[in-house]
Amino acid sequence: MVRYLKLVKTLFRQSMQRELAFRANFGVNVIHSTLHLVGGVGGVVVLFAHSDTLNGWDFSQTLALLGVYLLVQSLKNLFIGPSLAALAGLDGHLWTGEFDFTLLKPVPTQVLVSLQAWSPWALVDTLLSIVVIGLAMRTAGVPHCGDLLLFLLSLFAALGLLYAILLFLAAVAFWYLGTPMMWIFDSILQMGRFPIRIYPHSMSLILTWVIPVGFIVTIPAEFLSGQGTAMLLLPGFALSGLLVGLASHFFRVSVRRYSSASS
Amino acid sequence: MEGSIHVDSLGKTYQIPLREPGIAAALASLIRPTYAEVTAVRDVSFAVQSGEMVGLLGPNGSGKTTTLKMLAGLLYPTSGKVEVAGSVPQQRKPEFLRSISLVMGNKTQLTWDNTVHDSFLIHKEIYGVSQGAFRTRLGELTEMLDLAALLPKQTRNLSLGERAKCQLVLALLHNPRILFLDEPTLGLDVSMQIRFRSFLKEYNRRHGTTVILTSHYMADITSLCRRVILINKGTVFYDGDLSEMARRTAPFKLVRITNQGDLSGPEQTHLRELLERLHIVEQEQRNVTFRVERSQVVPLLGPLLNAGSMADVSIFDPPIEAVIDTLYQGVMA
Repeated sequence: MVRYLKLVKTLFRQSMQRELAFRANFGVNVIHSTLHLVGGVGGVVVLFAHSDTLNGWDFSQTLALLGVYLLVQSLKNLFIGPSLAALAGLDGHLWTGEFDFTLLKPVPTQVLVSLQAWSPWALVDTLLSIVVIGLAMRTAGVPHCGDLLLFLLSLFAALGLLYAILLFLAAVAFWYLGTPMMWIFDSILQMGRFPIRIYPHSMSLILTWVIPVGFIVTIPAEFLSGQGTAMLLLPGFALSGLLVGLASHFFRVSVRRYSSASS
Repeated sequence: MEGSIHVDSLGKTYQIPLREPGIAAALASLIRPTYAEVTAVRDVSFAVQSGEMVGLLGPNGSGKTTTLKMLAGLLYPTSGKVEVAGSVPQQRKPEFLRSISLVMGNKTQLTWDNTVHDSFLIHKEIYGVSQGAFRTRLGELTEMLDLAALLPKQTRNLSLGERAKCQLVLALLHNPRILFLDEPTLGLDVSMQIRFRSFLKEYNRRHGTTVILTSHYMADITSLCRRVILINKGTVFYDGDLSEMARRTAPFKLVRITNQGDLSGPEQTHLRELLERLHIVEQEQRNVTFRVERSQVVPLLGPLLNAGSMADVSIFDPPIEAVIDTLYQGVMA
């Protein structure tokens, strides 16, 4: 474990050094993050300029949801997204044949594939998302310690779900080396900007249990705004664990299929 | 054991998609794709002892890179057995992976935007090399390949030759017992190739590392490997001493004579008659090169020297490229 932490530290530091080599990139990333934030918060403000609630969600709750959405996105963009994109994205290691070298490393392939690339600027988004969550809590009132704990637990399960889905989609590239499937999930995750209850019932069920965007964004946000159902946490963890297990198995089976890019 | 390799009846078959040209065939292949089985490696067996340097030769598509990748554990064999450093490579156990290294001339594992030294540090952490061992290894390799000036440079700013050197050092940082080199000098200029070879020779001498090398540059093979394994169509058709292979494949010497006068002159009749009975390889003005069976070289010299007015005679082995070409042509016919 200590070895992996050292490895993560080295990989993160290297990513940071790489980013620092491109000074203009810092400014561009800050502008991008700010615009992203202003667009998101602006949307919620515009929405509530004409209505007090959105299918039972008030302004502060919707703002909290946006904050959770941005937080999940930023954590995804910190390492899970870049790492898996380095494997299965366009020009990824599966395309170039560099995955050969990943397979030869004396570290579990899934661990290396999931931690190999970091995007340190995503931490700016993480900070901004925490500011948004703080603003929402300031408007709605600070949640109870119990709700905060449930929020953190549900966020943990949500990240597990997110990782499992992305790992599964990245592993699809071993079978089908076309348009990266992770792009499709990015579009679906956008639906998590809004409470899943605003969608028709059947769709909201799909978004909770089939493509669990609800579990990933809405349910943690519900705990944050004191309207969560603690009973959902257990199946959420079970689903998260199950999907991580299944995705890992699928990844292993897919790696066996790898026939290496041509010499 | 730790640096040895045992390969027994190794085979590898791929399934590749097939499609007729045109949009209709492309649409049809979406519904009913057709596949063909391609046998890249049919039946390959050999054993390599610890510390040996062996050249794996064969024409393009002969199965040598597929064999190398199965030895490294990258590909699963369809049939046969392989044991490298006491392990089954496909199990990819950490102790096995620490004992090998693979260098591919057309690929790099250096991080493009980081400095060379940074790439080395990642490698150190991944392989769990201690700080002391890392410093010692890096010092030795840097000195041997004169690399110090390259360490602070970004990989993207290196020339092809510089990148190849750094790539080789990276592959050796964890002190592997077995080194697989797949076209390591691909695209390098002549002097860089020479430096590469002398480094590998010296490294093998110092550390006793087993080296399996594939290369289309015959100078790589002749200067590094006493033993060669020739593969074609997925089977081994020669495994043994390189010079013995040359003797068997080309049981002749080349003799080059330079005559003092023009060969068409009337006083050269004897020489012309003698040459007519020989297998001439090349002829230009006063120079003639011909093939003679090894046992016939000495008996021929007397009549040859008497027949004309020689300015120079040289006897040499056919170039290894010609020997290999003869072999390839023979087995592909």
